Amino acid sequence: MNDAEIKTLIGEAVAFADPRLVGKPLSENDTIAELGITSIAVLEIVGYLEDKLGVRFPDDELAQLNTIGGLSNLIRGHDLASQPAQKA
Amino acid sequence: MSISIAQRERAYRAYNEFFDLAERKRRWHPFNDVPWEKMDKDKNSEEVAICLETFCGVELYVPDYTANGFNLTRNIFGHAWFQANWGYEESKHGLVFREYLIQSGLRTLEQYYAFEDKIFGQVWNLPFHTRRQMTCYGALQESATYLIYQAQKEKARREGAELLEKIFFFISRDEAAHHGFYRKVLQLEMEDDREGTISDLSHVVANFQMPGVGLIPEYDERLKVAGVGISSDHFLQQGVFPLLKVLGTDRRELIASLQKSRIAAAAQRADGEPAEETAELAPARA
Repeated sequence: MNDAEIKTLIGEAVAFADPRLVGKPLSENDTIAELGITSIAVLEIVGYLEDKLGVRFPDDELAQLNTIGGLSNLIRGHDLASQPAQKA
Repeated sequence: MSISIAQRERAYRAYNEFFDLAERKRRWHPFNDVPWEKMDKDKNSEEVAICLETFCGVELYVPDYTANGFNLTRNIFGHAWFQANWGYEESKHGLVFREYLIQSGLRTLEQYYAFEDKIFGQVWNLPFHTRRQMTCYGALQESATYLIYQAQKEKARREGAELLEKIFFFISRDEAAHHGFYRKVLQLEMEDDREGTISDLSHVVANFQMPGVGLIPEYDERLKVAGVGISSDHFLQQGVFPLLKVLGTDRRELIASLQKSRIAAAAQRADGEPAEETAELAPARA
């Protein structure tokens, strides 16, 4: 996934979990707390991403989700892990 | 909610297990077992005072906690007798914090009583209104409190504050035992009604707040002092997820249940029926 696709997906997930944030521009540095996203909404966001990506993130990887950038990194990490290793 | 004899018997056994262990291994005397002679005033600070005063304030609502708890459980031996023991143990926590604040000189008697007046000037009410939901709340709240006190114990150990380390050892051990009882009861509830219990748990997680919110003076300011509260990340990782695992469920089932409840509530509203209490999202802070 490229950065724009990741950003779109996160926007959808955030809007799904917290309708107050529908259409709100999100930046990587926005913190979950500043956006007023609750702990349970974070779990909903992660669940939405898991459904869309067809993956299951380990619970312990959710510990660092303090920012929108953290969500992006979670997706990127999955993306890298799912790509076949490149031959040198 | 009616409760069968089999359910009452299982609650009784869970209580007996809790009580037996408490009597044999966990009882402690606030004056004899706490090494007050090791009070080291040089290790105290205003931050320590704010932590202890805040913890004391939360424990001072024990009359409200127990009154409400008894009203909810009075016809079930195992649950009501647990409330009695729980109240006794929590009362010791408040007493020890009060003693420390005064003996250390961190607060004068006048300051302490002014604080106590503010606490007793407010009333704690049940955040949830069924016994099962309050059991969910108890499991989560005791877990959060245990994590907070455990962190205080480790901090005291690192700083060589022996008295505080011992105090937080006794208190955090009590909180862990309380969490254990609620967790056991929730396991029994899951056996009886898995779907309903998960629905209640999702509702409580979504609306969870620590008991001091809205009651302790300047609570938000106090939370800025390290150790007074617990981060939502830490609470999820060390409190919520382990509880879900023990109960044989996970975050996905929890969220699915919450979303199902929301859809049902929306359908009720669309039909013009009074909607059941829906989950309002609590601030991301335990």
